[in-house]
Amino acid sequence: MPFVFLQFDGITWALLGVALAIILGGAGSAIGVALAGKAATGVLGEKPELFGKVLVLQALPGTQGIYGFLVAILLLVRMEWLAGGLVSLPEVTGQMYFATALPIAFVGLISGIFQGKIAATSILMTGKRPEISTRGITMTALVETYAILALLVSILMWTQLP
Amino acid sequence: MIVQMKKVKLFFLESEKAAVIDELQAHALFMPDKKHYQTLNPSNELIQVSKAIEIVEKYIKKSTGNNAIVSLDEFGTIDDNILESAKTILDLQNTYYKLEESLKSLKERYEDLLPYQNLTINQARLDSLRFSSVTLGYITKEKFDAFKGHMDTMEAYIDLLSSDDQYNYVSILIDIDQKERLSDLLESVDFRVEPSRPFEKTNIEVINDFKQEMDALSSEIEKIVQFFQSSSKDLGALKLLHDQLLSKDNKHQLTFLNTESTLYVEGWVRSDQVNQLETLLNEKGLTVEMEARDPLPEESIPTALKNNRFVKPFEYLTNQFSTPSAREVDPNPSMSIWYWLIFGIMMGDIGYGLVMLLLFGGLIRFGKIRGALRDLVQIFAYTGVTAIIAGAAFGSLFGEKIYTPLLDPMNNPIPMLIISIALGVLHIMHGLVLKMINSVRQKDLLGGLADAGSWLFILTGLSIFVVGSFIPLEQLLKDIMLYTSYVLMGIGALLIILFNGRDKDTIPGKMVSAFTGLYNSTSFLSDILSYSRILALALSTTVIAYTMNLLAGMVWNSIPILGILLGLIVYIIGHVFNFVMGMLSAYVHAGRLQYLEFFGKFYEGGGYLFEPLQLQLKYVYQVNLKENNQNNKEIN
Repeated sequence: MPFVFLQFDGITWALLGVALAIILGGAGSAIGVALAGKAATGVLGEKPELFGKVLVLQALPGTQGIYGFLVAILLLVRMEWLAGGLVSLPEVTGQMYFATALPIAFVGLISGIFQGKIAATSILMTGKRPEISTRGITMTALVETYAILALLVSILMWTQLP
Repeated sequence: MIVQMKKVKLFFLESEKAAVIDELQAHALFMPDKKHYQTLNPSNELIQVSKAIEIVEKYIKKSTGNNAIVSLDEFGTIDDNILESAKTILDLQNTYYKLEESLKSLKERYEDLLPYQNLTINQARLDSLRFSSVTLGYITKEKFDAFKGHMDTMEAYIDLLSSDDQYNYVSILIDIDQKERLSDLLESVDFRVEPSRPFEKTNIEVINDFKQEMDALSSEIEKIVQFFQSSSKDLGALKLLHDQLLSKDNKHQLTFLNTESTLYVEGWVRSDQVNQLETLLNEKGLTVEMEARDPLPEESIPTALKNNRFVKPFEYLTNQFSTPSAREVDPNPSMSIWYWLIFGIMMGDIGYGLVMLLLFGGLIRFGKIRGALRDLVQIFAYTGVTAIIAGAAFGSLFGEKIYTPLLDPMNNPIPMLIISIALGVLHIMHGLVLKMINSVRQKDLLGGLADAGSWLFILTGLSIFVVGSFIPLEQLLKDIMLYTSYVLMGIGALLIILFNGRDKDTIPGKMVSAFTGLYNSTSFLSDILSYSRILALALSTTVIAYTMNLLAGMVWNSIPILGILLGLIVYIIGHVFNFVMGMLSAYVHAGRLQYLEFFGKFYEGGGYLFEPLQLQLKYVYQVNLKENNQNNKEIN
């Protein structure tokens, strides 16, 4: 029994995983997008014509939430929760579901926040030199690499779930 | 490909200066050197016209007069009437501001006076009373009763003229001896005294006068606005004039070296256009002496890109990273195909691909868009094709599995992961090949072998090794493949060990470089693994589409009739959201794979674009050159 201090049945474990994926992924993105948004409104106050470029940068930290959502739905589908056919899961299976959610949950939270910070500085850079906003996008996307890798591992774990 | 450039010197007569510059600008063949440009402030006319355009566009809902197509003759003749009407617009704008200012101050006075409109005598007379004094003012309602008490004790007569939500407006009549005491008292009870307004008429009459004046001002303002709105018919002409003046300014920026009667200018011409330039100038009967030579090694050459219709829009992506230098191989043809492929796989849905093809293809066909936006839209239209192909492989139409697919990343992602990684290996090897070509061009064969050749051997060997060990084959074949792979990897490693320290003089220095060269394998490993994002993004598009279908289905079946409607809404919003987010992710990550993984292997950049002296078109879409049916389009 790996988690001696917690005693849940399988379904609760699985649902906790689902919840964690969407909570942490979503929280990371929300914080990230808000951080970028703060910078964006500042830049737009001076240069409203940059809205398109700034919006792209602000949207970048939003993907972690989507990845969390994606894993949450995948888990729900696999445990047949949406179809209503679920009766019960063995405790160990539930814990496997829980573990599957962990990579995207935690990396989503942290990378979302930090990607937001880079997005904010890239937005400020775009305010000064709009013509190189693509470089800002690229640098912001570097942070997302790890969210993508985490998503990939979550999905690879998910494929072999019982 | 990158076109070879020629350095060209032009000598011509001072008397023919205008004609020569006009020809050069209209045909956009010649890029004068930077030393021939001086910075000038925009001309007054240009500023006036652009302000006039801005003013008129503020008062009309939809901008008009954009994207005109004109002939060169039309473009050459400047209409002074339009310049005059631009000035009229500016003058009227000034009048408009003045009128608004006076309307505003009038309105303030009107509103100040409004509470006292019930005062029956005119205010000028109030100041000339001999035995009594009248004070006008207002006080908050809460304090009114206390104020009234004070007034009663002073035997003042107060008259409540009007009241609003907060204040009571009153007149106070008091014996003139008491005036001093009254004003002290009024201050202490927070009564605000109105300044005296010596109007000869009664307040109600004054207010009526104000009203009339305000109406007159408003109707004048309205007239000006109507004039601005009706000026929208001139907007096309104004915009043409703007571009004409902009082009004129552009010409005036040129300075020349001169003798008494001849002028001299130096610059760049594409080597395939040198003859065209020469015949052009000769045909016009201009006395021009032209001298063309190959660039010197130390000269910095502008980069002119000449690519086919497919590759052209992708130049924008490369230039966003860095403009190619004129001395390296053009990355665009290679990059365009990879971007096209990877973007498509990341979208990976027949439905979305069709939407991209129709939406962006339609925009290109029917919408007159230009510049960077046009390039992007063109790229998206092209990638619609690969998205459809990838979607067909996944069997996914708007997230719905319509047949048993070739690849099913949702249920079995491993084959797709292998394909992603394999694409990555090929992509990186392609980059290394380009690096080899660059090295050969720069006569640095050893460097090319050490940096690129070695890794080409190692990656090829590694690929053969992986294929040989994981695919069931005959034992003999398998052995052959494995040994070949060992040999290839060995050669690669040897190349690194031998040549990586070629610049170092000492044996320990060479050993350290050899080691760091081998240590690069970690960066290659992470580069290759980075391509797993192709799988991840393809999956995320498919799975979110699938989820949206699931949600829409659940709503659809929830309540009769209304459920169908709500389900449709969920379906449409969900797919639009996924489409937009999917496009954004694919744009960013397909770009990243080019910029970092691919360009990182070979691309130097740092060049500057060939921007010939040309007509400056901001609003006009194109100017037709009659003689040879060529189009001088905006280049940016």
